[in-house]
Amino acid sequence: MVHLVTGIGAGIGIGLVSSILGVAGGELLIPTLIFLFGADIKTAGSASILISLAIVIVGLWRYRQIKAIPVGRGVQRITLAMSVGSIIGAILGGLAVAYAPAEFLKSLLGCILLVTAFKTMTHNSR
Amino acid sequence: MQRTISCPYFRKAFGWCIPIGGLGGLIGLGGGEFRLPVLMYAIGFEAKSAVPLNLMVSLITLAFAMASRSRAVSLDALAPRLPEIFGLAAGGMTSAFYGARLVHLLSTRRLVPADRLLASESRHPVVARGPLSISAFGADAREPDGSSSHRHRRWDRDRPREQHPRGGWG
Repeated sequence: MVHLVTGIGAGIGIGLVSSILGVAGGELLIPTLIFLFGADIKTAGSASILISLAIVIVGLWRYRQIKAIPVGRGVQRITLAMSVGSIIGAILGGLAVAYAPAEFLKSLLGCILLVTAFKTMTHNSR
Repeated sequence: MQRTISCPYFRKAFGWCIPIGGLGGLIGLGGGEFRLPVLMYAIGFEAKSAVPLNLMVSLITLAFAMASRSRAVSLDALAPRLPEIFGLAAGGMTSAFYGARLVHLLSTRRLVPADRLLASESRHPVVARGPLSISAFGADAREPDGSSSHRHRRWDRDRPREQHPRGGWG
Protein backbone atom coordinates (compact mmCIF):
# COMPACT_ATOMS: atom_id res chain seq x y z
CA MET A 1 0.00 0.00 0.00
CA VAL A 2 2.83 2.38 0.90
CA HIS A 3 4.54 1.36 -2.33
CA LEU A 4 1.39 2.06 -4.33
CA VAL A 5 0.93 5.55 -2.87
CA THR A 6 4.64 6.45 -3.17
CA GLY A 7 4.52 5.11 -6.71
CA ILE A 8 1.56 7.29 -7.65
CA GLY A 9 3.27 10.38 -6.24
CA ALA A 10 6.55 9.67 -8.02
CA GLY A 11 4.66 8.74 -11.18
CA ILE A 12 2.85 12.08 -11.31
CA GLY A 13 6.13 13.96 -11.00
CA ILE A 14 7.93 11.80 -13.55
CA GLY A 15 5.01 11.91 -15.95
CA LEU A 16 4.88 15.70 -15.78
CA VAL A 17 8.59 16.17 -16.41
CA SER A 18 8.75 13.56 -19.13
CA SER A 19 5.66 14.74 -20.97
CA ILE A 20 7.00 18.30 -21.00
CA LEU A 21 10.30 17.01 -22.40
CA GLY A 22 8.32 14.87 -24.82
CA VAL A 23 9.73 11.50 -23.81
CA ALA A 24 8.48 8.33 -22.14
CA GLY A 25 10.40 8.83 -18.91
CA GLY A 26 12.47 5.66 -18.62
CA GLU A 27 15.51 7.70 -17.55
CA LEU A 28 13.62 8.82 -14.46
CA LEU A 29 11.64 5.63 -13.88
CA ILE A 30 14.64 3.29 -13.65
CA PRO A 31 16.53 5.30 -11.00
CA THR A 32 13.27 5.67 -9.04
CA LEU A 33 12.71 1.91 -9.14
CA ILE A 34 16.29 1.22 -8.11
CA PHE A 35 16.80 3.81 -5.38
CA LEU A 36 13.28 4.31 -4.04
CA PHE A 37 11.97 0.75 -4.31
CA GLY A 38 15.21 -1.21 -4.28
CA ALA A 39 14.77 -3.13 -7.53
CA ASP A 40 17.76 -4.62 -9.40
CA ILE A 41 18.59 -3.07 -12.74
CA LYS A 42 17.12 -5.78 -14.97
CA THR A 43 13.82 -5.89 -13.08
CA ALA A 44 13.77 -2.08 -13.04
CA GLY A 45 14.29 -2.06 -16.80
CA SER A 46 11.41 -4.45 -17.47
CA ALA A 47 9.15 -2.54 -15.06
CA SER A 48 10.17 0.74 -16.67
CA ILE A 49 9.18 -0.59 -20.10
CA LEU A 50 5.76 -1.64 -18.83
CA ILE A 51 5.16 1.72 -17.12
CA SER A 52 6.46 3.68 -20.12
CA LEU A 53 4.13 1.74 -22.40
CA ALA A 54 1.13 2.82 -20.32
CA ILE A 55 2.33 6.44 -20.22
CA VAL A 56 3.10 6.57 -23.96
CA ILE A 57 -0.27 5.10 -24.90
CA VAL A 58 -2.11 7.74 -22.84
CA GLY A 59 0.10 10.51 -24.25
CA LEU A 60 -0.51 9.41 -27.85
CA TRP A 61 -4.21 9.07 -27.25
CA ARG A 62 -4.31 12.64 -25.94
CA TYR A 63 -2.25 13.96 -28.87
CA ARG A 64 -4.67 12.23 -31.20
CA GLN A 65 -7.60 13.84 -29.41
CA ILE A 66 -6.19 17.34 -29.81
CA LYS A 67 -5.22 16.47 -33.41
CA ALA A 68 -1.54 17.20 -32.78
CA ILE A 69 -0.17 14.12 -34.55
CA PRO A 70 1.32 15.23 -37.87
CA VAL A 71 0.10 13.51 -41.03
CA GLY A 72 1.37 13.17 -44.57
CA ARG A 73 3.41 10.84 -46.71
CA GLY A 74 6.77 12.26 -45.76
CA VAL A 75 5.99 11.97 -42.07
CA GLN A 76 4.72 8.43 -42.59
CA ARG A 77 7.91 7.38 -44.36
CA ILE A 78 10.18 8.87 -41.73
CA THR A 79 8.12 7.25 -39.00
CA LEU A 80 8.28 3.94 -40.83
CA ALA A 81 12.06 4.21 -41.17
CA MET A 82 12.46 5.06 -37.52
CA SER A 83 10.13 2.26 -36.49
CA VAL A 84 11.97 -0.38 -38.50
CA GLY A 85 15.31 0.80 -37.12
CA SER A 86 13.93 0.85 -33.60
CA ILE A 87 12.42 -2.61 -33.91
CA ILE A 88 15.76 -4.09 -35.01
CA GLY A 89 17.57 -2.28 -32.21
CA ALA A 90 15.01 -3.05 -29.53
CA ILE A 91 14.91 -6.78 -30.33
CA LEU A 92 18.70 -7.06 -30.30
CA GLY A 93 18.96 -4.98 -27.13
CA GLY A 94 16.22 -6.93 -25.40
CA LEU A 95 17.86 -10.27 -26.23
CA ALA A 96 21.24 -8.98 -25.09
CA VAL A 97 19.90 -8.37 -21.57
CA ALA A 98 20.29 -12.09 -20.86
CA TYR A 99 24.06 -11.88 -21.44
CA ALA A 100 24.81 -8.39 -20.14
CA PRO A 101 26.20 -8.24 -16.58
CA ALA A 102 24.22 -6.01 -14.20
CA GLU A 103 27.29 -3.87 -13.47
CA PHE A 104 27.71 -3.08 -17.15
CA LEU A 105 24.04 -2.10 -17.45
CA LYS A 106 24.36 0.15 -14.41
CA SER A 107 27.40 1.95 -15.86
CA LEU A 108 25.64 2.30 -19.18
CA LEU A 109 22.59 3.79 -17.48
CA GLY A 110 24.85 6.16 -15.55
CA CYS A 111 26.47 7.34 -18.77
CA ILE A 112 23.08 7.82 -20.42
CA LEU A 113 21.83 9.85 -17.47
CA LEU A 114 24.94 12.04 -17.52
CA VAL A 115 24.66 12.62 -21.26
CA THR A 116 20.94 13.38 -20.96
CA ALA A 117 21.52 15.79 -18.07
CA PHE A 118 24.29 17.57 -19.96
CA LYS A 119 22.20 17.76 -23.10
CA THR A 120 19.16 19.15 -21.26
CA MET A 121 21.34 21.71 -19.50
CA THR A 122 23.06 22.99 -22.64
CA HIS A 123 19.85 22.89 -24.64
CA ASN A 124 18.00 25.10 -22.14
CA SER A 125 20.73 27.72 -22.06
CA ARG A 126 20.54 28.20 -25.82
CA MET B 1 11.10 2.39 -53.00
CA GLN B 2 14.59 2.93 -54.38
CA ARG B 3 14.11 6.67 -54.04
CA THR B 4 12.86 6.32 -50.51
CA ILE B 5 15.84 4.25 -49.44
CA SER B 6 18.33 6.64 -51.01
CA CYS B 7 16.71 9.63 -49.28
CA PRO B 8 19.21 10.93 -46.69
CA TYR B 9 16.50 11.67 -44.14
CA PHE B 10 15.17 8.16 -44.43
CA ARG B 11 18.65 6.72 -43.90
CA LYS B 12 19.37 9.03 -40.98
CA ALA B 13 16.07 8.14 -39.36
CA PHE B 14 16.70 4.43 -39.86
CA GLY B 15 20.38 4.45 -38.94
CA TRP B 16 20.07 6.46 -35.75
CA CYS B 17 17.15 4.46 -34.46
CA ILE B 18 19.01 1.13 -34.45
CA PRO B 19 21.50 2.06 -31.68
CA ILE B 20 18.87 4.12 -29.85
CA GLY B 21 16.44 1.21 -29.94
CA GLY B 22 19.26 -1.11 -28.85
CA LEU B 23 19.98 1.02 -25.79
CA GLY B 24 16.28 1.15 -25.12
CA GLY B 25 15.92 -2.61 -25.24
CA LEU B 26 19.07 -3.21 -23.22
CA ILE B 27 18.34 -0.82 -20.36
CA GLY B 28 14.58 -0.44 -20.57
CA LEU B 29 14.03 3.02 -22.00
CA GLY B 30 11.92 4.30 -24.83
CA GLY B 31 14.95 6.23 -26.06
CA GLY B 32 12.97 9.42 -26.55
CA GLU B 33 15.72 11.74 -25.31
CA PHE B 34 18.01 10.61 -28.07
CA ARG B 35 15.44 10.36 -30.80
CA LEU B 36 14.10 13.87 -30.27
CA PRO B 37 17.36 15.57 -31.40
CA VAL B 38 17.45 13.30 -34.46
CA LEU B 39 13.89 14.29 -35.35
CA MET B 40 14.46 17.98 -34.70
CA TYR B 41 18.04 18.66 -35.81
CA ALA B 42 18.95 15.86 -38.23
CA ILE B 43 15.59 15.71 -39.98
CA GLY B 44 14.19 19.13 -39.14
CA PHE B 45 10.80 18.60 -37.56
CA GLU B 46 9.37 21.34 -35.37
CA ALA B 47 9.08 20.53 -31.68
CA LYS B 48 5.31 20.41 -31.99
CA SER B 49 5.43 17.58 -34.56
CA ALA B 50 8.55 15.91 -33.23
CA VAL B 51 7.11 15.18 -29.78
CA PRO B 52 4.08 13.13 -30.92
CA LEU B 53 6.14 11.36 -33.60
CA ASN B 54 8.77 10.55 -31.02
CA LEU B 55 6.10 9.05 -28.79
CA MET B 56 4.84 6.88 -31.64
CA VAL B 57 8.30 5.46 -32.24
CA SER B 58 8.79 5.10 -28.48
CA LEU B 59 5.65 2.98 -28.32
CA ILE B 60 6.96 0.66 -31.04
CA THR B 61 10.43 0.47 -29.45
CA LEU B 62 8.97 -0.32 -26.03
CA ALA B 63 6.59 -2.96 -27.35
CA PHE B 64 9.34 -4.84 -29.18
CA ALA B 65 11.82 -4.37 -26.35
CA MET B 66 9.31 -5.91 -23.94
CA ALA B 67 8.63 -8.81 -26.28
CA SER B 68 12.29 -9.72 -26.75
CA ARG B 69 13.13 -9.05 -23.09
CA SER B 70 10.45 -11.46 -21.93
CA ARG B 71 12.29 -14.18 -23.86
CA ALA B 72 15.69 -13.19 -22.57
CA VAL B 73 14.98 -12.80 -18.86
CA SER B 74 12.28 -14.14 -16.59
CA LEU B 75 9.59 -11.64 -15.70
CA ASP B 76 8.76 -13.40 -12.41
CA ALA B 77 10.80 -10.81 -10.52
CA LEU B 78 8.19 -8.24 -11.49
CA ALA B 79 5.41 -9.90 -9.45
CA PRO B 80 6.46 -8.54 -6.01
CA ARG B 81 6.94 -5.11 -7.61
CA LEU B 82 3.39 -4.85 -8.89
CA PRO B 83 2.21 -2.21 -6.35
CA GLU B 84 4.88 0.30 -7.32
CA ILE B 85 4.53 -0.55 -11.01
CA PHE B 86 0.79 0.15 -10.83
CA GLY B 87 1.40 3.29 -8.78
CA LEU B 88 4.02 4.72 -11.15
CA ALA B 89 1.90 3.82 -14.17
CA ALA B 90 -1.21 5.43 -12.67
CA GLY B 91 0.64 8.61 -11.69
CA GLY B 92 2.46 8.80 -15.01
CA MET B 93 -0.74 8.23 -17.00
CA THR B 94 -2.46 11.03 -15.08
CA SER B 95 0.37 13.43 -15.87
CA ALA B 96 0.57 12.30 -19.49
CA PHE B 97 -3.16 12.94 -19.83
CA TYR B 98 -2.75 16.61 -18.93
CA GLY B 99 0.84 16.93 -20.11
CA ALA B 100 0.04 16.42 -23.80
CA ARG B 101 -2.37 19.34 -23.70
CA LEU B 102 0.16 21.44 -21.78
CA VAL B 103 2.94 20.77 -24.27
CA HIS B 104 0.66 21.59 -27.15
CA LEU B 105 -0.40 24.86 -25.51
CA LEU B 106 3.17 25.82 -24.67
CA SER B 107 4.48 25.11 -28.15
CA THR B 108 1.60 27.08 -29.67
CA ARG B 109 2.21 30.01 -27.35
CA ARG B 110 5.69 30.39 -28.79
CA LEU B 111 4.01 32.08 -31.71
CA VAL B 112 3.06 35.03 -29.51
CA PRO B 113 6.29 37.09 -29.70
CA ALA B 114 6.43 37.02 -33.50
CA ASP B 115 2.80 37.94 -33.55
CA ARG B 116 3.26 40.94 -31.26
CA LEU B 117 6.20 42.07 -33.33
CA LEU B 118 4.05 42.12 -36.45
CA ALA B 119 1.27 43.93 -34.66
CA SER B 120 3.60 46.66 -33.42
CA GLU B 121 5.22 46.98 -36.85
CA SER B 122 1.88 47.56 -38.47
CA ARG B 123 1.28 50.47 -36.07
CA HIS B 124 4.52 52.05 -37.17
CA PRO B 125 3.56 54.74 -39.73
CA VAL B 126 6.11 53.81 -42.37
CA VAL B 127 5.56 50.13 -42.10
CA ALA B 128 1.81 50.45 -41.92
CA ARG B 129 1.40 52.70 -44.97
CA GLY B 130 4.55 52.15 -46.95
CA PRO B 131 5.38 49.36 -49.36
CA LEU B 132 6.47 47.26 -46.39
CA SER B 133 2.98 47.33 -44.99
CA ILE B 134 1.86 43.90 -43.96
CA SER B 135 -1.21 44.31 -46.14
CA ALA B 136 1.18 44.51 -49.07
CA PHE B 137 1.87 40.80 -48.49
CA GLY B 138 -1.80 40.08 -48.80
CA ALA B 139 -2.00 38.88 -45.24
CA ASP B 140 -3.95 41.72 -43.77
CA ALA B 141 -7.23 43.53 -44.09
CA ARG B 142 -8.04 46.87 -42.55
CA GLU B 143 -11.04 47.33 -40.34
CA PRO B 144 -13.36 50.23 -41.25
CA ASP B 145 -11.92 52.29 -38.37
CA GLY B 146 -8.42 51.90 -39.77
CA SER B 147 -7.16 49.58 -37.08
CA SER B 148 -5.43 46.42 -38.07
CA SER B 149 -7.18 43.14 -37.58
CA HIS B 150 -4.00 41.42 -38.58
CA ARG B 151 -3.10 40.27 -35.14
CA HIS B 152 -6.30 38.39 -34.55
CA ARG B 153 -6.49 36.95 -38.00
CA ARG B 154 -3.01 35.62 -37.89
CA TRP B 155 -3.51 34.30 -34.40
CA ASP B 156 -6.61 32.42 -35.46
CA ARG B 157 -5.02 31.05 -38.57
CA ASP B 158 -1.98 29.81 -36.73
CA ARG B 159 -3.88 27.91 -34.15
CA PRO B 160 -6.90 26.27 -35.65
CA ARG B 161 -6.22 23.29 -33.46
CA GLU B 162 -6.86 25.38 -30.41
CA GLN B 163 -10.54 25.21 -31.27
CA HIS B 164 -10.88 21.84 -29.66
CA PRO B 165 -14.55 20.81 -29.66
CA ARG B 166 -14.46 19.73 -26.06
CA GLY B 167 -12.41 22.72 -25.00
CA GLY B 168 -10.43 23.27 -21.86
CA TRP B 169 -8.25 20.72 -20.30
CA GLY B 170 -10.66 17.87 -20.01
